[in-house]
Amino acid sequence: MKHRQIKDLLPHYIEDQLDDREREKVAAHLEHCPECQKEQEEYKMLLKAFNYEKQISPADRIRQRFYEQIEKEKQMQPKGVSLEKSYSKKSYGLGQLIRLAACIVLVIGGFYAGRYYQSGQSNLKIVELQKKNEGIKQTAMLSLMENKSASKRIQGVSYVEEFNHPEAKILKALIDRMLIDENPNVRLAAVNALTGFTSSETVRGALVEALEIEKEPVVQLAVMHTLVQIKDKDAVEVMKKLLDKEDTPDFVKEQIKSLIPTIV
Amino acid sequence: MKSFKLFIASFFICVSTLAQSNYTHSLEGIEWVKIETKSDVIVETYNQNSLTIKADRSETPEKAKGLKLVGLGGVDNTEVGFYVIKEGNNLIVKNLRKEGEVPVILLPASTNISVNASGIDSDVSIDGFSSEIECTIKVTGGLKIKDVTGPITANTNTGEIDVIFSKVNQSSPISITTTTGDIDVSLPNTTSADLVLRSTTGEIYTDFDLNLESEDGLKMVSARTVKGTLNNGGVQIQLNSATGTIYLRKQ
Repeated sequence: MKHRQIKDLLPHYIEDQLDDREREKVAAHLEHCPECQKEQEEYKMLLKAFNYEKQISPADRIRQRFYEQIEKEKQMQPKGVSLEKSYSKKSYGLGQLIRLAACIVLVIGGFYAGRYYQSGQSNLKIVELQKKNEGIKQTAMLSLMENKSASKRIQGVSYVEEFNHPEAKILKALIDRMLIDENPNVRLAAVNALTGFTSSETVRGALVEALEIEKEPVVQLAVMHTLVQIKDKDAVEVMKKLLDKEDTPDFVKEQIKSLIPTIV
Repeated sequence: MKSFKLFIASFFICVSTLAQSNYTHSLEGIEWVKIETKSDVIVETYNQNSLTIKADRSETPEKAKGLKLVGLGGVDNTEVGFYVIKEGNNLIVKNLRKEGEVPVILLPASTNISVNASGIDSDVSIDGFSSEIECTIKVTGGLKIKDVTGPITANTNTGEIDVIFSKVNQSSPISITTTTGDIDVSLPNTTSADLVLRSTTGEIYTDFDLNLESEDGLKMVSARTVKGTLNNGGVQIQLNSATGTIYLRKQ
């Protein structure tokens, strides 16, 4: 008899449910198979554990009530012919128990495997959604920046914080807000938003352009501070020009004088 | 109490109509009321769904008999010295006069308003709106806003900006900017907000417990920026002044 078959018989062997012939075979196999010996040990342990487990019997009161309930139920049932069901008495041996355990393992294992697989799937979905989301966000941002309300335009401008790597389209829209928006609050918000993207040549160029055309001192100062921070040399020329202009407010000129040395 | 106030108010309106004249315009299909002025103006709320302007009756001087008051790109079509016209879903309201009693413009509290003041020393006062407010004061003149919820976008050149919020609308940012003026903002204690307070050379004062973001040392060298959150953060509030002082108060 093969090892595999013996293994199947092991539970029955331990529970002494085999005929003599089979029992001998199993016993013979066990002698020289360490694997089956180990399994036998494990079965025995399991069996022992089962035996140790105290049977919990319901309290008498509960039992009493249970029967009472059944009686009640019986009386409420319409009288009729009940179909007798024949239950073949099966012995629920250890073998069945093990099979049951295997079933449980399979079900639980299947569940986790499925879940693992699903989570992989849903991760993919999340990435997809995020991408889609970025698209929606981008559209929302661009349309907000065109809104009639200045507050909404500022909201659109500050949406840029939601993007790690905004597309050129977004930077272009921010630059437009900085250069052409009629409201200085929006222009200021755009300057502050662009401060995070000074590694882009286009953004640096636009900031210098803004410094040339901006008339509102608060925005001028914000642009200047950004350019000074990145030590943009082109800014120096423009700042010197502003120094010579008559309509540049005195405090702006003072700021320029104190800032120029920090660039060079 | 409210009806008593209303009674008093209507009493005064009745009395004052003797000296003043009212002009009323429907707000049907109007999204924004855009007010332009070169002198002081007061914008308040009332319980009617229309625009009312309370101002001196335009008394044409002897020499101007048969002539009309013009200015700010409009002709007096209201008899109270204003030019009012509907443009798309905007109602343009131009104050043509540069002197005289301060006109009062009455609107429902939910009207979006935009005020553009470009005169010398034109003070603007706005009271009671639960809608969006935009205000620009170009030359000189201050801005007083009270009992509002925002969103607000306001900027002045030299004038002080005072804003008292009754509540802060969380829908879109509040941005207040002035070149040399001070900014004085009062917020309810429980306001949730993300704050950016910026003054290049002025000081910043507050009695709020700002949850300050870690300061970037480099930024502090040239610009004085304070960033923080109130009550776990919320709508963006930006207060910017180049040389003025910023006061942020708890109510």
